[in-house]
Amino acid sequence: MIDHEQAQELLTLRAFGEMDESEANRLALHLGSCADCRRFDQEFAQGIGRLAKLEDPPRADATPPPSVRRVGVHPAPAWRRRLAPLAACAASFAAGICVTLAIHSGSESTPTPPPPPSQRVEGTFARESPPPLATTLGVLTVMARSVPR
Amino acid sequence: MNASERMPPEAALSAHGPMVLRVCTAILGDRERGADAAQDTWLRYLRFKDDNSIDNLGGWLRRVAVACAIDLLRREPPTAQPLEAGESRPAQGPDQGQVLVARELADFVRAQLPRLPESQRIVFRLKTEAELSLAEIAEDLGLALPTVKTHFARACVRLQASLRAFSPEGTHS
Ligand SMILES: [Zn+2]
Repeated sequence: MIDHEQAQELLTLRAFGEMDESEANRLALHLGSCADCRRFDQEFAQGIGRLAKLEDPPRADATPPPSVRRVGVHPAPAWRRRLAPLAACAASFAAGICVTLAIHSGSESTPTPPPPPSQRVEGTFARESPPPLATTLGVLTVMARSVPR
Repeated sequence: MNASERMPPEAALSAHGPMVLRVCTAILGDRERGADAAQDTWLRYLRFKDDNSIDNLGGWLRRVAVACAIDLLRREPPTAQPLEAGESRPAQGPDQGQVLVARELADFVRAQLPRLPESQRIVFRLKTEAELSLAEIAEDLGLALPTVKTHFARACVRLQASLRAFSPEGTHS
């Protein structure tokens, strides 16, 4: 039997469509006999849980793993896009990166060999650090100078 | 992405650029810094793009974007933004009998996020702002799914508690 704290955590997962079947079963057992957690469920649905209900079409690149069966009602939310419109920023950023990529593509006569496995990015907490921004800008500057006019 | 299906860099940018920027901006909570981290991601892509071990470019880019954004977050932590009167909260708190409109709720959450532990804050933003599933977040962060679920759920419970304290009589509900 789960306690109130665990039940309320599961309720938040359910609101965001992230609860699996075994969690749903445990939650149902608790909710059947706990008015406090039922009250929390209502409160959450009208509070933070509303972020889960601002629905947008599914992401084109969404690839839900088959091992996760979601027991919930809400697809991925997108309130952030309403709050911080990225379109203009993304467009200008993409344009800049396009220049970088185009420059790089033009110098592929000297391909970079693949890095040894130890240098590959394996995960967030086990990887090399990216270059500092100053280095990045320097690289871009060098790239820009190599563009054939 | 093996050699036979490797796409040109421009196509990779077109296909995955919005996702990379979305993930970086979600973690950093700032568009300019998100763009810096996205740039780091693409520069790293340029170094590794011919690596035959990359068999899922979208997943690889997402993981690198998360890594670059977290690196930047830790190099240059954001300054805490206490909730100032009249800044992010509704002018008089939620109007009596009215619900917080979505914008106010989002502003409230954004103001509260810096108060969460980093792990909870990153997971919450990746879920609600970058629209990743918790399974994807677990993969990107190299954490077990139950751990990520706990981070996300605790963030939700804490934010709900803050909202309750902000509106002690439950007028938001
Ligand atoms: Zn309970």
